[in-house]
Amino acid sequence: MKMSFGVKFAGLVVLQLLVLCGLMAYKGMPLLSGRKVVLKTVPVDPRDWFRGDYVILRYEISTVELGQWNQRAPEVGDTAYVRLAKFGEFWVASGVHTSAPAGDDVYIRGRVTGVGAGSVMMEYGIESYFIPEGTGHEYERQRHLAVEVMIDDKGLATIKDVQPGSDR
Amino acid sequence: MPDLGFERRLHREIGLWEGEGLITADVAGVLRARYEEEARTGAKRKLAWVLAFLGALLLGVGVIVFFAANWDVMPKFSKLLAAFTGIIACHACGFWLRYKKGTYPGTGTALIFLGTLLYGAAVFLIAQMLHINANAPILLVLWAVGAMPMAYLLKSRAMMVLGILSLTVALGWDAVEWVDGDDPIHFISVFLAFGALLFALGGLHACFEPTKTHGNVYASLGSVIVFSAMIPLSYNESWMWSSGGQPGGHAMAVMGLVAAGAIISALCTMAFRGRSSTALREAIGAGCVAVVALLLFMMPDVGTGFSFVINVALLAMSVGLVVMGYARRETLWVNLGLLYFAVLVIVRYVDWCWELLPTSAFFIGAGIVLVLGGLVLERARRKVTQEMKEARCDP
Repeated sequence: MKMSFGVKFAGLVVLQLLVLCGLMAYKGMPLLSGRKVVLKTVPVDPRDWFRGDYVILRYEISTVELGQWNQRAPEVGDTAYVRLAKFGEFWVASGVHTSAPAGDDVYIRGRVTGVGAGSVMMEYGIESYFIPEGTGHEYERQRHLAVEVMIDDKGLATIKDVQPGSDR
Repeated sequence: MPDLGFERRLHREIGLWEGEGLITADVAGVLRARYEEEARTGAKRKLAWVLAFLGALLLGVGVIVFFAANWDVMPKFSKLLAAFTGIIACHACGFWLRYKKGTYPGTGTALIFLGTLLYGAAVFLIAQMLHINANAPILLVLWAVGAMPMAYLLKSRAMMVLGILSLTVALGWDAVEWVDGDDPIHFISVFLAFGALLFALGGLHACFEPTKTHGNVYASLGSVIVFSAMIPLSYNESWMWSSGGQPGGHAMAVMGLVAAGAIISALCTMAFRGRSSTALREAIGAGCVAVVALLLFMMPDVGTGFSFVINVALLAMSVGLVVMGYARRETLWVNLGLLYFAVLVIVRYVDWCWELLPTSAFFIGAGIVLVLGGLVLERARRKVTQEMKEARCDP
């Protein structure tokens, strides 16, 4: 049966709406079903063309020691799972796996963005925190921030909240 | 705009027909009146389309900027609801005006285009709400995923341009991450291959009736990207920046896919368009650019002498596009070829003469080059386009 032009058009509009819902579901799922961890970070304040002001978040777990890598030497673009352990108020990296690990430990999925001497730079998709226009200086005044991140069982992370951090 | 060349030619012809007794003075008067009226209504219709399109563009940009301001007085859920409602309303009204009622096709098209801009704004709004990383290429890819199928269905060039530009910027954002930051040749060669891919896809689109509308959109944007990528490589200095570093596995995979896509598209074009020598030359050109881009990506340390080869290639590209326009009887390619030639002359003039001449002499010389160059190019362009029009009129 041949579809009419109107049905094809309506189908494409539905496709657009499904893409939007899919994006919300994919990145929003950890907020509903994930485990909460608090990470320590230092903020910087730039601007995105389409989404306005945001704070760049640089975490302690953004740099992982090469010694924590349990398998072959990493390459830029590799996916890795960083095991997190609670140390005082914040969670820190305690090991790295190159495949999705099983068990009850908390893992965050990231991507290798650089390999230096003895350390590996990682990104977890939680490096930008979007804020109302003109409020960036309030965040920049902080020496560091405490970022509440929700992580689902596949290691996908989403920022829940950002608070001023204590100096511990 | 009305085709003034056609009007002038028609008036001249009507005068000749009248003089030769082929038509009476009355018929000549009726013909003149008919085409003057048609030109006036055609111009008004086009103006209405342009105004509606510009209005949609301004509205879309305004909504994107409004969401970007992240105005915290309005709850995020309300913004999301407004975006979803806007997308559905614009598409529905646009469809009704253009296809159902059919009385306001320009406004209808503009509203559908606005719907796709609002869809992009909604992608970025959701990404803002969920703090997806800035410059995440996937967001632009998602915009293209929504815009390009719509462009194919509606045969909309504007939406296709939007989709291709989104993909181009997404590739740039991605390449910045995975290409060795110390070696700009890697970054440039990715775009060289991507431009070749678009150009080859343009040829492939032109093979089939349903996609023919988009052939020139792909090919012209591809040629712009190839030309823009080659210009920095035409300087000796750019080859000194190369660290000779090897790209990583992920970078190689993406580059390989883009280059392979270009070569396969070129081969498919050759297979589908068979004996057409123009299509064959275009496909070979795109394939060669893709192969060169791949080689540069793997061996960026080829030495400063290669800038001479790039300059020759740029010159060949400019001339080649003019020839292609002439063969296809399409002024777009003649104009693009002459534009690239003009840019190349200006770039080389600045490169070679800036340090050799006193500044005053530089500006005087540049002025003379531009005026004379403009004169020569305009004359050449008029001659070629006139010949093409006359060839089209010939039975």
